[in-house]
Amino acid sequence: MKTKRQVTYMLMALAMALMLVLSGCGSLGSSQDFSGTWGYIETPTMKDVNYEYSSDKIILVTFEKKTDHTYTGNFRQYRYAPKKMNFLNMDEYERGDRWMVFGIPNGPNRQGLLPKMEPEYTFKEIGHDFEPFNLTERDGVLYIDESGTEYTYDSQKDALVSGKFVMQRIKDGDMTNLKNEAQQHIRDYFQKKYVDTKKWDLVDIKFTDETSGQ
Amino acid sequence: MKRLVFLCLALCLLLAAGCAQVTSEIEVKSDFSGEWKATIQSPVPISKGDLLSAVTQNSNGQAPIDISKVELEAIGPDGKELKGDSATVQSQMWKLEAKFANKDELAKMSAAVFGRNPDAKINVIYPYGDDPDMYTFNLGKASGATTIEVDGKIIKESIGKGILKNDDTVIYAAGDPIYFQFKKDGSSGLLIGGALGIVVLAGIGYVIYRRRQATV
Repeated sequence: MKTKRQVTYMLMALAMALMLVLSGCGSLGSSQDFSGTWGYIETPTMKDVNYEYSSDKIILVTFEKKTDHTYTGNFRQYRYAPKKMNFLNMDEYERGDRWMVFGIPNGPNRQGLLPKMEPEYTFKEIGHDFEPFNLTERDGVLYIDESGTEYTYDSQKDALVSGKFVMQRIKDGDMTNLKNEAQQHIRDYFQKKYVDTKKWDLVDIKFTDETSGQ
Repeated sequence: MKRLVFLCLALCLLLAAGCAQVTSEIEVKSDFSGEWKATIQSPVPISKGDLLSAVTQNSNGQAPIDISKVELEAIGPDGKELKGDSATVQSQMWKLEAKFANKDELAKMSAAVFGRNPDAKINVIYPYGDDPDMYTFNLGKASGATTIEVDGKIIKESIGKGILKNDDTVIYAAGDPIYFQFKKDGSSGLLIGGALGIVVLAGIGYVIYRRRQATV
């Protein structure tokens, strides 16, 4: 009787193993959900950035789950565009120098007075020619079908990571972190090019948002 | 990996000069290891030393290249290997061979050759869709006539400008993007083999049980 029971157990175990092989092997493991919107700043790598420093782009990518292991991705693109350059002490500057000033001066007048400047930038969505794209998820890794670029989820940073490249999660369309970073780039640019070189007295840089309310 | 980087850079160097014809054959096994064989036909004789020094000076930001691991053979007009001092021998035709251990080595090779964004992680072989055996092969633009053989079935509709030689082999001309999907062999065989193995074991167990029952 004991042998019979052992053999019965063995047969049951084998049957279970067979079921596991037939049902489990070849299927895909558990998956990480990559749905949502992710964003990053694309900064130009060119050596000489243009005058307005309006080349930073904030790029948002929205992943939408299509099947168990596939997604579609769509881009939106934003930037701070130059809106206005306020010459706050133009009259005073002109009086101390000559009867008229053409354009924005770079440096003090004859009296040693620096131009007081206040650039204005506005945040706006810009067009792009990126097509929607497809992605495949496997074992917690997301692959872009067209390029082979892979992303993994970093739970500590709540971000998607690909090598050195990082995309932050954007919750409820809130791009505050990315906007602050882009604003800082603009501030750094003016500081380095006009303040450190004593060409301008930079009073402030104003930032407005054309996208608010969208 | 270093052999691959060397190989790719060597090919790129010659192609950049606009004067070499390069024929490549890439074989990918089921575990995504494989081998890349290339033949370079140059209009002027070049030496191995010149080739290696040019490559090491043009390493594209990659780690220093271990040239001692590269299999590089000078071929004479008769198609046979040229003898002599391997560093100084000059030839118009060279044969290169390199092996890659896995798909990550292929990915690094691709980054070195095609100058893809070094900040992101980009694959050459990667999963495609919901089918666990389906993969994409994406090597970028072909540097010359390139033949790729995979351990599986290439999806005919996915090969773009490539020419399907048979189910597992596709050929691309110079300048064409090497991009296709293939269904890997192996897991269905493993599945059937595993199931058969268990059935055999179960049969043996049953026979033992019956014999024991008969003797009791």
